[in-house]
Amino acid sequence: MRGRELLELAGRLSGIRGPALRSRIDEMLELVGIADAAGRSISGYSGGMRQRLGIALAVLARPPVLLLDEPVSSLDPAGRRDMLEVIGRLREHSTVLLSSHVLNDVERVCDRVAIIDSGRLVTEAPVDELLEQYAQPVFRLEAEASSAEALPSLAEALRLEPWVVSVDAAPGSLRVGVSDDSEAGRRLLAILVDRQIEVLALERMRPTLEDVFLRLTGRRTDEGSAA
Amino acid sequence: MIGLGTMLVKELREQWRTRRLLVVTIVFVAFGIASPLLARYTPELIGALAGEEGIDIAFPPPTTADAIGQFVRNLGQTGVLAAILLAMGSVATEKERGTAAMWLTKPLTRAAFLSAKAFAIGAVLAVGVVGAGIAGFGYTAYLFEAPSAGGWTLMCALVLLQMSAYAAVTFLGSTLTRSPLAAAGIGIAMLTLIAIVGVLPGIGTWTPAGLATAGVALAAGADPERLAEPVLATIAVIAVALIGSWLSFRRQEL
Repeated sequence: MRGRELLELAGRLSGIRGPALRSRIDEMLELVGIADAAGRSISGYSGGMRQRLGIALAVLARPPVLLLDEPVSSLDPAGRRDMLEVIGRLREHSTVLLSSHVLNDVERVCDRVAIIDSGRLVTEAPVDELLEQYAQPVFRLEAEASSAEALPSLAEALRLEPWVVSVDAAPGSLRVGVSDDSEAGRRLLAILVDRQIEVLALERMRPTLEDVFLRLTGRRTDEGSAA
Repeated sequence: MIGLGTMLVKELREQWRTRRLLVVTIVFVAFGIASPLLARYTPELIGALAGEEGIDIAFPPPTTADAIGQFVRNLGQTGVLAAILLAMGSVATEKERGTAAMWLTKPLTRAAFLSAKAFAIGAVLAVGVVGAGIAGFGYTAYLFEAPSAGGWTLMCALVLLQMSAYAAVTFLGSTLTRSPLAAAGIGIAMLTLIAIVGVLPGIGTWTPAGLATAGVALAAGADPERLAEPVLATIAVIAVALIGSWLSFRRQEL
């Protein structure tokens, strides 16, 4: 069966017929970006193209609410990026409820987020509000190899500072969560100069939904889900 | 049954595109042509071969009844196999691939989904039997005395009814399982059971196996000894299998 034929059948089942069905199919094929492949057999479609066709099939009858469960889970990075763009465009047609464990994807396409942990709704709010409210400012410090030995003692010293919330050490780098990013910016630089640590990189990282999730659940990210 | 018409068009188109309709029709027509030919020339062939070995075998001259018997045997056996092959993956494959779940998210009832598939299988078998019937009747009339057209038609209808019973049981298997092979196994088990029960005195006529004898008698212009029993039994098998399919499928998790 060809892609267009599948959509025609689904449209007829939904009671759409004639010119209205043809124009709706053209619109949906454009929306999901497979208009050029519409006349080809579905058996020759890639995984990403099948996912897009599935999305077109789902939105053909213009449902007011669209539920997508891990819609990009089986796709390669390029397919994933394209599909997220398609999902982003769907908001013009329907309310999209997306369930995913990949919080970067959620952050990229969702307006509101509900965090569910072990079947319990932890919070539900707009993405910006969640980031504002729960995400701690984080600084990432990467030291030159010559100063790598000094990082464990630096970590210990930082843990004693009142503006430091957490310090995660990794080989050659530290990830420092702080309560006050302006004070941390000033004080952190001073401490590094004082201890004569040669810095390769020091950056203030943008808080992510993953940070919010970890803070609210205290779990590893792969144990919960967000929608 | 919401969506039946649309799904039926889809199923029939699929039978055409996958060439199942074409293959079944060609095979059935080939057996329709071959049956009277075999009835006409087999005695001559065997006689000639035996003569080469110095054995003299006398055969009675072949008749229309031989052609009818050959037609029913050949089409019955091939048809049952075709019925099982057509029905084995009809629902199981769609469940396995997830396409059944996709279709059923549309305004389409499960009864319509199953009915469209069952009708499409029946239609393919019917087209094949009609083709075989026309070809077989034509060749029988050409090589022998023409049989009764009405009786021949009834015989073809009974052959189709018999195939439908095996298709319906395999269809039930396809609904119950996710594996086309398991569905085929159920169809073959039914075939074996009927072959065993069909030869039992008394009960044998109450099986689809009794349709062949009745069909041969009808085509030969005679009154079959038992017609109602195998017909009713076969209709009952089809009804039970189809109702069972629906009962199993209507709340099945896909």
